[in-house]
Amino acid sequence: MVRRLIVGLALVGTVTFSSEVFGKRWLSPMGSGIWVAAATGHPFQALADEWLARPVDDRTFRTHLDFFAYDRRVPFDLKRGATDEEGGVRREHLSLQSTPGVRVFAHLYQPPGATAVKSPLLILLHGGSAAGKDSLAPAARNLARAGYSVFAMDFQYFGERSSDLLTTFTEREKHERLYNQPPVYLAWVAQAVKDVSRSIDALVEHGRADAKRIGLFGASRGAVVGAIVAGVDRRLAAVVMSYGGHFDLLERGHPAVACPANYVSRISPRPLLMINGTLDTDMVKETSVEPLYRLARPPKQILWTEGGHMAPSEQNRALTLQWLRENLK
Amino acid sequence: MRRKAWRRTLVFGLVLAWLVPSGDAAARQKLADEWLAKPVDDRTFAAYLDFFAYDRRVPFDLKVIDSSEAEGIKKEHLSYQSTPGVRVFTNLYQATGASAPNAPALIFLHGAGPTGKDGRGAVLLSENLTRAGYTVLSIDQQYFGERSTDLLTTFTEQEKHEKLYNQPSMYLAWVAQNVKDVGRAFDLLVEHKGVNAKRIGLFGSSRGAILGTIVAAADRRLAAIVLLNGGHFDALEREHLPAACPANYVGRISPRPLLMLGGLYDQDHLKDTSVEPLFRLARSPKQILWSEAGHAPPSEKNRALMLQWIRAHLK
Repeated sequence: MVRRLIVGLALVGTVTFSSEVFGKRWLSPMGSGIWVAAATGHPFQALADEWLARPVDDRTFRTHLDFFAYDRRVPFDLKRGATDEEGGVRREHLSLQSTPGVRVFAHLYQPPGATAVKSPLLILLHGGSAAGKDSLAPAARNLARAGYSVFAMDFQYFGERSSDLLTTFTEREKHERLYNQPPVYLAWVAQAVKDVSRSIDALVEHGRADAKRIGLFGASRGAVVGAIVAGVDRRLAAVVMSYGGHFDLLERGHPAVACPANYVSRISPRPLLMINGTLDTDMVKETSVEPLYRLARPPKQILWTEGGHMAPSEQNRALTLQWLRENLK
Repeated sequence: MRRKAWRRTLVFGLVLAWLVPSGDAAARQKLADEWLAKPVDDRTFAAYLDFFAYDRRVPFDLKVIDSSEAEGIKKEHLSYQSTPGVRVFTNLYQATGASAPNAPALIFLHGAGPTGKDGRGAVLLSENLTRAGYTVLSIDQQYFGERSTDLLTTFTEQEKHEKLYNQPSMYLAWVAQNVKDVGRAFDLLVEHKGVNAKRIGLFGSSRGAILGTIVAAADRRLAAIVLLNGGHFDALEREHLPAACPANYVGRISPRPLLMLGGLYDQDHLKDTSVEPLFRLARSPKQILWSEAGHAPPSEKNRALMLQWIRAHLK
């Protein structure tokens, strides 16, 4: 009884502490040390869940959009690199200037025998792998064989855009230096949104894609960020989130602007497909995936595979391609 | 009964006509003036702050490029990492006397010259402030001085406006980076130069004053704020996003003291439309000093009053 009381008091204490931290953050925003202190201490889950319960209003959302805006007049300085072919799929290396001085590196995969604009295009966003876009090469080729042009780009700090920030790419490093560093993560998300939008502009202007037939396919971290990208760039006609969610298990909190919960409901009326695993220990069904899916508005669909992270069943792979055929023509 | 209803309709109509401005008047108002009339609410402001936050744990990787001493001033040319991969170049001015480490400090934001912090005016002002007893950290803003890029090459007013100030998204990204750079400069002064965190103020000149209005509201650690020849916008600005509008920040500097200095005949920052409306939005403690001048250094008298103000508010 006494023990239960102590636990109860401790819980009350924790809640008070978190709300104090939260309040202080607004009052003294530059004190990022507060973020660090809070993040090393207690589950921050409650903080991030706030927007699952109640996403930001339209006015705040417009403020987010202001920060994701970019200058269309910056020259693309599009560079075409090596090409190769495997299993009938042609792959071309591309790079372009996204924002002043920042370059995006990508591979463009073309379906066998296709001429550029005839096939719909998917922007492919990779998970938190050191290899970046190339970690999804097999998936990109599969999608190309199914009739899609695929633009697989590296996120900042990954693949060809590696930097001092991430060197070992362990989960611990990625979380300590990026995912759980709200300011760095937010800047990274904002850059990713701009990178996708600029890539779309470049592909359309250079005759590589039809502006009305571009979809998004995000895997793992690329799906978490993809929800945000899709909520912001309304040109994306269909959205697939493969093994994404509201956050992964090691995330301790993110600012409203980098929270998928504030974007997922704004994807509608464009169709959304989520693919997830019931036993995924990164993107947990009950706390991360289902709450986010509930926020999404129709048309939406979710496919569950009995299994862990990034292991969809044969059947769900087939259903994904069928969904794409119906929703991205 | 019917008469009453009719009267109600009439009263309602009159009230409505009074409340809703005519379309003409609304059209005449400059786009950016919207926030002068009504700054954004606290919730929106909180979203801005999220974008201005930075990671304190990124290593400074502080580099001393060179160091010199002349006429009682020690000048160190430094660079530090602000956000991952972004380096800021800066001059640190300190009096050579024994009291230097205990001096209060000012972070200096230059006007929009091609040489940034190394422009003649910026150097003179920094040295004057150092002689008056302050440690001065003068930083190059992104795209200026040693941080020059392809974006600005001629630094004409036309180029700066076309490529930066009148490109709302570009300008906002620039503002956000500079806010972070100042926050990191603050940390640098405290962690590496032993300056007391409670005794650091901000001095902005011209474009650095416009930017300084935003920085001052975003970083509440800055203890006193001096804005020289700033304002709500310059005469060539056409629009900016609310998050980059000084009107949404100036009212949030209080209770920290604010001093503005303007020129009565400034053609860039017009007294009636740019400077006074912004000053009106500021809350006390605030003061404004007008010089009989254009976009130029303040009068002899106002320079003395400025130093007196700084001495009184940044001890």
